[in-house]
Amino acid sequence: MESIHKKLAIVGEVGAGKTQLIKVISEISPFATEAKSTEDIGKDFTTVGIDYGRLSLDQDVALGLFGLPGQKRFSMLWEMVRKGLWGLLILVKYGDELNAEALNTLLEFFQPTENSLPVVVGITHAENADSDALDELSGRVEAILLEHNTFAPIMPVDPRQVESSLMLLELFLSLNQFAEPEANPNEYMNYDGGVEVNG
Amino acid sequence: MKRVACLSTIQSLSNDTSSSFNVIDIFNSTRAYNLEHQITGSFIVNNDYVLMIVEGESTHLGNIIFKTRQDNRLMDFSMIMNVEIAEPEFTSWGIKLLKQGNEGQERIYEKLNNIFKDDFKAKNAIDKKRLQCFLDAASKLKTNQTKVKPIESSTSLKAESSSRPAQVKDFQYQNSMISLTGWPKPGKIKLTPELIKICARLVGRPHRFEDLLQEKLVASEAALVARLNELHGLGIMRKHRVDEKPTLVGIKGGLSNKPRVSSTDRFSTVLKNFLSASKH
Repeated sequence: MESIHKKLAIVGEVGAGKTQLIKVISEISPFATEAKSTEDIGKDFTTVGIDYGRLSLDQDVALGLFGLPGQKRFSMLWEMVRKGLWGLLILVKYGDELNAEALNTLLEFFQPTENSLPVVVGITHAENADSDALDELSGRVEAILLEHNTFAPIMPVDPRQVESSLMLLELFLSLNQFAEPEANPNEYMNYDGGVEVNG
Repeated sequence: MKRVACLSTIQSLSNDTSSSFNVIDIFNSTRAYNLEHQITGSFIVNNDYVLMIVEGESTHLGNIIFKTRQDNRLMDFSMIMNVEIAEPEFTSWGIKLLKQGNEGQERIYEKLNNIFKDDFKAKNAIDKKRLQCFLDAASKLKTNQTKVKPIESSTSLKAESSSRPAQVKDFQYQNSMISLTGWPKPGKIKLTPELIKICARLVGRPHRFEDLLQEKLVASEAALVARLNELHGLGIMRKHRVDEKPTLVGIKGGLSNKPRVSSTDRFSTVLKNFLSASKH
């Protein structure tokens, strides 16, 4: 039987929780390229390259977990995993200023809508967040996603919790299963309802 | 930066569209624009009256007022506030139903009766009457807050800051085509596996209720209706004509026609089994 290996890219800024999330989901010790921080970024070690973890689902079925830095200068690492992605998880750290430019760059690079790539935005460090503030942040993220014609669930994620991490996989599973329209997409047309402003 | 408030009355339509869907449609029609242009405020509904308060840059407010004024589902449109402000009072754009039993009404009471009251300038008797309805309703909510047990809303709207979705009893999903204009905001509702499945199906894509039922996304019809009611209460649901051709709502460029993984593929099945086993 043919082996199946899917790839989930986990992208986020420094301290967003990529390494931690992979540690929780992966059954192997993540292959991580961590180095001691030379600047005060709130933690001793930070990932300077790629994190890799794996979740084996069956003898010949596995999900590869690729933790990637969110900065544009690391786009060569994005390039390495772009092809055939099963999902793109963007981690946004609550409490930090939203880096809209980095998010735009990321979405321009991966082009989720054009590539039918399911996207989920996880807001981390939001355990004590006020719901209004959480909605405000998600509203700003949603606005950027809409600029790229992308609908994506935005949800709080605690990368330390197994349940929270598994919920993300559940989300990607549903997006992969259900997001595809049933009819021929070529028959679809633009629509002036829903989120568009009526004229 | 400015704050503008407008009053209007919901037009009764002759077709079978429920009034709650009219209201939600009108609210939804402003969501993307307001998000994009950092317009905050509230779309407050009290019976057939709408009080829209928007905050932001004047050009963007002008556009949104112009669009709303042209909406033929609203009549007797009237601007009753237009003031310069240093900072917005609202943190996002949301919908609020002034109705007893809806939770989280304290802040709108505070805003309408204490913060904004002096800036409201009702020009004529109709406006005064409509504005008074909002102030009275907000006051009544405040007064009754401690002694009134929550009652179920029959008009299916949800308080902006409520942590529990509103109950929707009157809407019939049967023979309807529905979609969601976006994913629920994280502060409004906690996504469950059932909601995830429904949202993944409906966001940006109209589906018939019967088709959703057939797909067995949830355990029963009652459960499906309950989940749809929760989403309806968040103001992100849109009703479509049953004969409407399926469209990708709000996605300007549409989706690519690249083949996607089949829902029955082995990876999905194995992962589903893994997730299911992990829960037990």
